[in-house]
Amino acid sequence: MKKDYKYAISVCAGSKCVHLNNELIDIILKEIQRQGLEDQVKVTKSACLGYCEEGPLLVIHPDNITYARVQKDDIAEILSEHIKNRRWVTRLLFHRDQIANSFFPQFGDVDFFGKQYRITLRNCGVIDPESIDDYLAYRGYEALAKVLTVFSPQQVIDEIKRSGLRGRGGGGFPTGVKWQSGHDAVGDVKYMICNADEGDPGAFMDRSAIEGDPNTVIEGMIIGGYAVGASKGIVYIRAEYPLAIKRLQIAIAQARERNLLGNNILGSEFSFDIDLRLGAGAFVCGEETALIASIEGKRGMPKPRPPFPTEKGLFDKPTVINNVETWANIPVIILDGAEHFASMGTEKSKGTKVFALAGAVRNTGLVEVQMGTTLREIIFDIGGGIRDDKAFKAVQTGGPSGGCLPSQYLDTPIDYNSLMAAGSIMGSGGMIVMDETTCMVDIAKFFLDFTQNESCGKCTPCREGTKRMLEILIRITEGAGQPDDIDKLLRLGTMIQKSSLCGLGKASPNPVLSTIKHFRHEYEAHIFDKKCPTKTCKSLLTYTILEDKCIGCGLCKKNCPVKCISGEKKYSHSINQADCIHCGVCFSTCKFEAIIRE
Amino acid sequence: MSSPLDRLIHMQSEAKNKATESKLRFPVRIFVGNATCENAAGAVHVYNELVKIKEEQKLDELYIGRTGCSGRCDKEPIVQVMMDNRIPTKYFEMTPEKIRKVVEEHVINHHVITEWAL
Repeated sequence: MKKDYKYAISVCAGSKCVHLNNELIDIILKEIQRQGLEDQVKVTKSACLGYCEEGPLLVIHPDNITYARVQKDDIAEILSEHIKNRRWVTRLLFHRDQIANSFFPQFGDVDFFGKQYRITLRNCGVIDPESIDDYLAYRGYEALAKVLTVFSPQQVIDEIKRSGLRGRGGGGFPTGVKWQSGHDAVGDVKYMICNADEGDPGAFMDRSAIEGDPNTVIEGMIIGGYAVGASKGIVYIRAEYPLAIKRLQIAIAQARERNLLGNNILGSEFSFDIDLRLGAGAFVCGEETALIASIEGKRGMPKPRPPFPTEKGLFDKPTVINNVETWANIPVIILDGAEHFASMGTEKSKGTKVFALAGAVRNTGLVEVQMGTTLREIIFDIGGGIRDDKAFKAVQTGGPSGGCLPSQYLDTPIDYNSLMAAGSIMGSGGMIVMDETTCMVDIAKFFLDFTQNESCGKCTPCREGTKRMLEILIRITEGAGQPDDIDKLLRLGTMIQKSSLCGLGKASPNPVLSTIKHFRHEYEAHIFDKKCPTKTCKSLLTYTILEDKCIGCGLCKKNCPVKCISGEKKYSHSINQADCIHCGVCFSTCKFEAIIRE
Repeated sequence: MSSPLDRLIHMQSEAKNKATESKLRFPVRIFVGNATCENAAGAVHVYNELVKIKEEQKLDELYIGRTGCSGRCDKEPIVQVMMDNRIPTKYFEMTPEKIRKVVEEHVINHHVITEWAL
């Protein structure tokens, strides 16, 4: 028989607590009967919530309220107060009813989620992203309503300042300070922009955040608009994210229907609306002045600052630009309070950060951790360590503009300053893990090739400098490296860092400079010994056939594209090194491990 | 005149009722991941197969929903099965064939297929 239950009580039943809690469930079921709530409440079990020391835990849905250390005698009170009287039993509330990390109980999978703390991704993978009702049911738009009801714009800005939130797009500029200068700027029209132009190879934080929970970004922008005094918001998102665009459009339309966007929001004096602008996918358009140029319909190229966009931005009007993740933090800061946000993280970096964990780790994925978590915890605890039991070699943070950090930095607590000091950057949150088989010269070449391609060409250091650096790297990996190449790379790199116009150029030498700093011996092996220690750079490899292992099957000879292998059938073959193009086909086709590669 | 907060709280309670009506009253709720990454891994086929199974077997007590990506990229598509009075289970690397088996074993026979569960 189907019943229209209104509430579900979920009891933690992980293997550690299951016996204890089975008893509790019996008591709950009896109490439900005693209070005559059978038609309203049902009881379910949940997987281990990972807070065993706080157990037994009860979660009540759809309110999503968690009670901790619940004793047998508390059950009657919880049922009568929470269910019947709709009042939370405050003395038992876990985390005092926070919105941050509130879905922790539902994520399960403690190994992966246990060390995470989800603020921006709090709803991702839980709610239906195409339904504003789902978002509303979990305290959606409550921060906006609270702000419109009890906060003045200046109070909102003060709250954000106190939270210590810094720009999550990579720059790390204090968000509250940016809003203040937008607020103080004089202008009849002001704009709020959401930078969703995510272009780092291997990064997908913004896409996942928008696809999983588009409404939180929109709510953050409206709150920002109220604080700064803007009436118009624009989300700049790349056209190659069609699903994210669709979900944003749905969310915006549903918000307009309910008067959460448009004129006189929720009956207040404040009006605000949001439009989308689709970018064609140029990496440089993630830089704020280039992004503004692109929205204006001009070629996406950066401009020198000052004037900063907060004074003279889009169409020369005061403009505040923040990244997707920054916006998604705003509702949580308002609801849980600046103190809660500031209680997490390190001295100069507060809150959490989302990373796209990729590369040679077992569990690739999207992780959100408190600032100050170490690289080791992310890679080895959450990421599960290096795939195929290989050894850790380096981790690249911050995408193509970041640096590679070797194992001695694994215990560095992550924040903007510590990464900067180590020669890398926070960036927007790409994190690529490399194992012992990765050639650091090759990886530096890969990232520089990307930034070189994406250089807009406006300033000479970036346009010409990265090109020359790339040429040097290519010749090193092809065995034509010259003795002074490392010095040349260092000189060019520091020059580009100092003299480029925008962040793209300034950061582009980071992968090269950091790999030279930490893996200089690999460069030297390429240049002086003409060897690639990890056997990655094909031109530097030689293939030799071992006479005693070769049975003369002729497979390598048949497959060699330049016909440089000779030998009679059933007799040992040999490779003519002068004609060999180092393609490696013979090595991979040989079934008898008779060909060695060095 | 009611304040913005009053209006919103009203809106929220309506939304909660809607969520209760549309989801919570179903004893079995299955959520399929649905983001670009999930879809690329084949989540759409899994979702369609579920809808088909529901029709074929007339599983009226089953609710099928979608969510965004929870972050387990290497294990997608992820399917979460929630049943009354049972521990929610997340199944990874689902395919149309596997989801059929999950419905049969987990939903109908109440037996968790541990080797496919996170």
